[in-house]
Amino acid sequence: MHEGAIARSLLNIAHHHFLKAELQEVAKVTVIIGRLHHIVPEVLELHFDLLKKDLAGFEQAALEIEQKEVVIRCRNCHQTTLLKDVSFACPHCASLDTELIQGDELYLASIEGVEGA
Amino acid sequence: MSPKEIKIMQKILNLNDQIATDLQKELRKRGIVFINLMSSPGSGKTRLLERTAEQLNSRIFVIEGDIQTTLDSERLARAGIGVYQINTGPFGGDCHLEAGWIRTALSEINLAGIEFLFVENIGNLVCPAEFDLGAHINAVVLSVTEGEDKPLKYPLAFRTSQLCLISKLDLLPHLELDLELMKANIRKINPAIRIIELSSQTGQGLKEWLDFLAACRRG
Repeated sequence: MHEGAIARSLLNIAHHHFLKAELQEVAKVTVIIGRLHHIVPEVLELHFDLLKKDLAGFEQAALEIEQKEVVIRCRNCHQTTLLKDVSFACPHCASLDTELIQGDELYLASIEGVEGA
Repeated sequence: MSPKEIKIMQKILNLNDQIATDLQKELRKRGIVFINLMSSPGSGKTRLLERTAEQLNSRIFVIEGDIQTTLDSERLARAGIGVYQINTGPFGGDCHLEAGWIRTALSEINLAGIEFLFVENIGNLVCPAEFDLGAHINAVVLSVTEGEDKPLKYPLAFRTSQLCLISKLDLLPHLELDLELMKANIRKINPAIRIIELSSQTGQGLKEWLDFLAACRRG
């Protein structure tokens, strides 16, 4: 249940930018999460919704989660593969010499809101 | 009153990561090797630390992470090991440690003469892998009783570790485990990972583990 800690951190950063931009309220918070992370979107949303109630300006904010598939590139045959299961071996040449090029993201992408008067 | 989008693109755990980076640098400067032990509950982390301390004596210190109870830290203290207990509970406590916990612990610990700082993370193969503690070595402990498939089921812990300790090797004759398949599954997740097979019960593999630690210190 680390989604609580993730929700707390992302709201802290979002709040900092909310104050800096002098927004009146936030309508949407967008995060990008790679599938390599063990994060259940519904649980993250649940924690986000619980925490936002006590954060002025975020009471009506919706959480948008953009998920990134896990993609590897093989250093042997140079093919790029979107992984369907968790084996990091190259499905084309079976090489284990692969690099992760997508799927490890854990970012606060943006906040969308209404500017103050 | 106009809608406005503010691009941020910042790592959600950047505060944790910054503290972790600072801890790593600080401990390296002091010549202390920092090892984060992660595993499911009951894989033999505490027993391995007891056996490790038999050889390294007062040169190791353990930060013990549990949701509740001080059972493990009492065990380690009885073995003469310097230990600091973190309880994240008692109820609904965090299922992982974060770098901030370690920073607080270190502010209260005297590390004079210590060469190896271990964190025994909370027994959980999922959440601890998400939080960088600043360890020089992330080590995942996997006991032979857990089955060949666990690396595939909990990939992040194996992906973020540089070392995998396969523990309880003495139980192999009683199990139907395919050890080669277990190792192949570990390498499917992390081809570069170092694997050490050991038994705290019989002492098998402990020399390789201690040699590994010594090499880290020279490192």
